[in-house]
Amino acid sequence: MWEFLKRAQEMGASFADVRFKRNRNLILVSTEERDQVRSNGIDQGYSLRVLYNKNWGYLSSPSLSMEDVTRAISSSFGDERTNIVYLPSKKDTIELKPKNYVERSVEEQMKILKSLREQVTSSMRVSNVSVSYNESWVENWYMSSEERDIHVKYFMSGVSISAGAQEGDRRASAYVSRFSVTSSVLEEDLNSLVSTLKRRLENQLKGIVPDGGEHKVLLAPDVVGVFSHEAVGHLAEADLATSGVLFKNKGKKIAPDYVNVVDSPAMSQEGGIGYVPYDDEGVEGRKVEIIKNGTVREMLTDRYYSAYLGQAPTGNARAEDYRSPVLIRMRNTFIEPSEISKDEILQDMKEGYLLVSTLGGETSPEGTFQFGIQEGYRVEKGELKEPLRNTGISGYTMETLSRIRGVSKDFEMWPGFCGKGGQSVPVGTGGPYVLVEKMKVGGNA
Amino acid sequence: MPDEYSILSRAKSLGVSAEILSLESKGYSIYVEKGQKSGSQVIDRGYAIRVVKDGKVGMAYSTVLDEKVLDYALDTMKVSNPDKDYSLPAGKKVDYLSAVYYPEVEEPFDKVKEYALYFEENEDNLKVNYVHVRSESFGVKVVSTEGVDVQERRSFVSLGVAANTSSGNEVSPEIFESRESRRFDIDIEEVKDTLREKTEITSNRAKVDVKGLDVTFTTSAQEELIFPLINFSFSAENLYRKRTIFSQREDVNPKLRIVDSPRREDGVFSRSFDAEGMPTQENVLVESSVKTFLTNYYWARKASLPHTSSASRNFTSLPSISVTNLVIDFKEKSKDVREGTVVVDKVQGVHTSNPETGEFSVVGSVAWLDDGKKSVGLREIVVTGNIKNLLKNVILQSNPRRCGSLISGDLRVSGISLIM
Repeated sequence: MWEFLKRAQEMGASFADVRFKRNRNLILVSTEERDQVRSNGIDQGYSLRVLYNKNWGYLSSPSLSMEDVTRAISSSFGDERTNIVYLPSKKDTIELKPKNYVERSVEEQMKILKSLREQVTSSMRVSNVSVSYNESWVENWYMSSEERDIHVKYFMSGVSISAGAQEGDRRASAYVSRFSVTSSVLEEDLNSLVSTLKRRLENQLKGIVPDGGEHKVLLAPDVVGVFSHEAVGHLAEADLATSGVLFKNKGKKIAPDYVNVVDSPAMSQEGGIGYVPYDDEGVEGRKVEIIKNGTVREMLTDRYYSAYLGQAPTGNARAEDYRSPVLIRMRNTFIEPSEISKDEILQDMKEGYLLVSTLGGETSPEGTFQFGIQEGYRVEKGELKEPLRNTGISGYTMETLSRIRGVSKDFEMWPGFCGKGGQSVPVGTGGPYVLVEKMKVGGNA
Repeated sequence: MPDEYSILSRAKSLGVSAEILSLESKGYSIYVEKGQKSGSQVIDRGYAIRVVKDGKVGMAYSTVLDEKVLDYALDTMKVSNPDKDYSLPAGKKVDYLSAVYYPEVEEPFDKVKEYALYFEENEDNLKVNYVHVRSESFGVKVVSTEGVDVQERRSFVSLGVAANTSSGNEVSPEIFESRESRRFDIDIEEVKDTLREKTEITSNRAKVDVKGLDVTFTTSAQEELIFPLINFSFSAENLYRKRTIFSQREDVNPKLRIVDSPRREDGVFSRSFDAEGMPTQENVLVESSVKTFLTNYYWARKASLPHTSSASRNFTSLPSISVTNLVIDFKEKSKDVREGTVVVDKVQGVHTSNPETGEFSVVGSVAWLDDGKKSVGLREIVVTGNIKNLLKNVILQSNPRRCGSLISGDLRVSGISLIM
């Protein structure tokens, strides 16, 4: 790939880099009637990028030729004002191997899925069930005209189960998953996934719709993770942040002292699948303190926004595949734990709702967010009462952060996949239990 | 390098039915955000091989077509459960559409740049956050051992622009407008005018008591909220697997007609054949009551339903089922559909809705109260309901316009729960 970078410089590019991405992917699915390989193949190709007359130009393709250098240069567009952070030359290779990997045939892998599916169908009446296994052998190779030569390889695997049930007119559907970059998920005990799924379905069938309006809520780690990611993290992505509400409050105190929100490239906890030791611009990943002691501190950047904001590079530029441009993306985003226990918070809360698991969420630059909730409970006198169904929560990030009244020491990370600009990348989200004084809960008006 | 036909020939010699989907594309796009701008060319290709033998199915894909891809596909057949409904469709004559490809996308540079630059010139306080312009020329080819041999060139042009206003530490909602076409005929002035109008309405927002008011979903809001729920609910797979709240012949709304229309000239997702190479046709999903659930070849056989040629896929997966251009038509029309209602133009959190139960609880992130004289921007309104009741309670529609894959007018709906 060096020859393409050299040619780009000869043609006048002040900077050039090339990404090679190779992903060997396998998806197996077992449903109530079908067992099949849903996806199986290799996606590999190159993305050549040039900074020509201070304008970016890209050429992405499964293969590269010298003609493609000309194409990248002729693609460049802008007003000749693009400045980026340059880095010293570096050569590094990182290979993360799963600790318990066992070579298994597809038949053996499918046998495990069928066993999980049978566990679900034998223990409760479900109308449908899908058990999926996804494994990806990921190889990212980055080279730049600064003579950076970065090679990262890792393996990610995951099992997800979704199921639906019906009793009379009432329907329920629930989802559970476990993904990891540090271990091979198929070798782990997955029984807890099945029991969680069953609990969620049963809860929804007998659950109540909460009273719509503002209530005191206790957010469990899964929900706090999605809040950290959706409501805070996206607002800290520099491309969105500079037109959004979080950046406007940089340096200001917006939450109690014990609120710390970070984005980390490391997989320090199970579930932290946003493993990005080097990003897709060859930048070393570092921990970003988005909110430190309640004060807005840093944004997530790529090379351009590091220069634009005058902030040290963070390593948040990621692309789903070779055909996609790099975007500023999160990695593992979470609220750091504090000192009190979950039970102490619950007692302190008295009345309200405990929200345990989400169906994902969404945010906007102005700071509104919305999450669907698939598991939650009404709380009365500090005790859990009826489960909830058809529940959503929403609010303003800034208001919500200022309304935090407690952060627990209990902490968990959860895997997820984040969509932005039509691209999906693995991320980790997590946190402790967080008590919020007032949050809008959607339900019966 | 072998071609599709030599690989099919080898499959046939092994006694295996095989199908190859080939996709190739060439596109140019420009992305503008703040100071950072970029131009990008993507030259892409991908191949998927599906094999069937004795009711077992296997698949493999690659960005390079070679004999190994067939071997990988054959290897995956061994985990498939035997199912008599797994087979590949026989070739049929395709009546090719004329308006799916315009050669102007082969030389896109000047036009893509013109679109992008237009939004930089703002004489007023419209604050454009980003612009994304994309053009693409792509070829789809499906060939099989069963006599399918179809190919089509299609073109696609899209424009997306996001804008908002800010004052002090307050930021107004980001208004995103997108337009799609097969060619460079997007009315960019209309897009800018729409952005101006919506940013102005939402720049000052109030908390207003809206309880009990009807809701008008604009075409844009319907494309975000209603389209994905209908797409899920009217899939034969989801009917067979009891994952949809709709049942066959169920009454929906006596004045409502919903059609999947893959052969419309003005539909940007029109196609002469589906992802299994089968000729497309118009499918009426609802006409007062439920009429059709969409099928691909497998689900038509499995669920004993008519084959609607609605297979959809990219090269990395097996065929699924999808709507192409969805047309919603309500008999009662009025141009004053918005008057006295809460107008919801953008919704946030659609993917948190539950398609199996049809329930949704989303934020109307761009919404306003139309009192007949003026529009009052609404701050953070939660819209809760389910898709079945929503369709039952449609009471009025304005004249249709196209928004992405949806053709519909504003829809006025009663009985939607609103929480401010």
